[in-house]
Amino acid sequence: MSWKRVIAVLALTAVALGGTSLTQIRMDNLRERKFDDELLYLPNEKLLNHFTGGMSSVIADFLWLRCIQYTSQHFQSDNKFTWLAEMGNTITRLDPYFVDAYRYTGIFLAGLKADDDASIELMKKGFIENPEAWELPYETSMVYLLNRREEPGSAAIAAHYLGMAVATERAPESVLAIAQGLERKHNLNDVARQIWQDMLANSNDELRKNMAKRKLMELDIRENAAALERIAQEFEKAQGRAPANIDELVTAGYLTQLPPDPLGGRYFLEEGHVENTTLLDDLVQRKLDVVRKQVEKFTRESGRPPKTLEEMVESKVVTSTPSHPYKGRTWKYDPQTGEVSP
Amino acid sequence: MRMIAIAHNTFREAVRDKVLYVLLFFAASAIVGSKALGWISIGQDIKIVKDISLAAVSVFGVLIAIFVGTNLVYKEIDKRTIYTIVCRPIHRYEFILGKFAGLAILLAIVTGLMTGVAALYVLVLGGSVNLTFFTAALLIYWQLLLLTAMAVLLSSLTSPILGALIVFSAYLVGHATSILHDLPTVLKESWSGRLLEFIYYVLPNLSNFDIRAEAANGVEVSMLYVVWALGYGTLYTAFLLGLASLAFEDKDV
Repeated sequence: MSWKRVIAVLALTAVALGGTSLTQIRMDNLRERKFDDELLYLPNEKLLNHFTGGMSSVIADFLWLRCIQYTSQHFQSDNKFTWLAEMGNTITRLDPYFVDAYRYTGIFLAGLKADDDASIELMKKGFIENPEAWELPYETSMVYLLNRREEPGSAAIAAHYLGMAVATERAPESVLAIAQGLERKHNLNDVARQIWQDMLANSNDELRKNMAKRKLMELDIRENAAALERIAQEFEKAQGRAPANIDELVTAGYLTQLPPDPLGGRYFLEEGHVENTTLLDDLVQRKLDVVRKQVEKFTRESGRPPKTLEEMVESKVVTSTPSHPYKGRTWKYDPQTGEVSP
Repeated sequence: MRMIAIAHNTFREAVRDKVLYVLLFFAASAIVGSKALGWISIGQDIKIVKDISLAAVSVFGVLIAIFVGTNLVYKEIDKRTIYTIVCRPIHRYEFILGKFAGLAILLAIVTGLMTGVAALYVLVLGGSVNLTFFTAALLIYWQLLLLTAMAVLLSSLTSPILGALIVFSAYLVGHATSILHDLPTVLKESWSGRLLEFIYYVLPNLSNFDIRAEAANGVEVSMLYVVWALGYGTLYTAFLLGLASLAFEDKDV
């Protein structure tokens, strides 16, 4: 090929591509509102999952990039984020393990759109799919601490979610430090006690009064368990061994008697920690609810209950099932009825 | 032995096909280019590279299976080279299985190569690759075997273009069969619901082989699930190859 022909080809290419680029700029201007409009036609996320041709994870990635562009464009212009929650729900429906999509869409919703409810709802959806992801309860706690700090009890709720983040055993040390700092700074037991005492004093509703009474009793039990644990540590320091059981604290003269449990439970020692059956039974109920919801989800998707609870994890319906709060115990499960019991 | 000779020849023939290299070039470009998308993804570059790499392995593998697979038998008949084979002491099913085996070996090499390049690329970018990533590639390969068996069946029945269209449609439908299963309770009880349920079980469910989201997000997948998926694929592939052998047995060449 002669040099004249090379120059001709290059010139032709430059003119043609320059022409198409200018045309594209003109068309982009004409279709300025296209970006938001196309979100209007985003298919229902439940249906979308069926028609991705096995590319749901890749489509979730592209939607995620769109979500970032959308957020950035509106942040620099009108600060309206009408479609943000919709996009977050669609992305996470397509790729339920996309932890950072829950996380950052949640942050955008709370921080930019000031839609705390949508943010918390999206991140809670993420807890069920990714119970081992510390980031989601952590960010939820931040929403309570930063966006809802004026509301009574928000510090206690934030501490609860930070506790969940720490419980994943994957959170960095800094999260643990924040959780401990929050506990110390707000004296959360006192904050919670104040809330329930107010409810008991001011509520006319009998149900709310009863709930407040029970919560106050649970707080007493928590404080008693913490005090017993400190005494058990004193015992160990003095005797050079851990007490054989909780009653040994009385027989050895460290206590005149064990504190009563107003809700009928009992305290016991478990691997150096003082546990209480009332609190553990409450935890059993809450975890049982999660397991039952997981079984319902499996039954809905598979048309039958799982043969075992492990099958839900093996067939990828959930990533893990909550462990039984009592050490050495497991959930009782009937595969015929799909019923889970403690 | 005769089957191995046919497989060997099929492999050599497919390796010479220029379409294979064009597809491999595009797959490599997609894998390497995926990093560009990661720049605007708030730290999701590794996840996106993994997602697009596995999608490239799947899509380009399917295209190879379709373009090469639907031509396998048809080309032999069209060019009349089939006469030099069928006049020898060889069973027709051996010819079909040999053709399938040749393409299966080629797909194993191509899938392995693309997965290796993708894994290496992820490592070079500072990411990590766990067992689920390679398990996802294995299941993609098993899906390709099923589609290849379908392509071989259609290659002995119809023209390459029609065969390619049918296999590609089966690929899309195979990933959407769950819609036939997730029916409203009212519909499930009716005859139409039962019919849709029947179709759900009869059609190949290719989403069984899709654990790419788990692989990209580093979520573990139980080996029991993988074993069942491999079993499902093997059974379906064997069924399609059986049909292909029967169809070719009766074919007047």
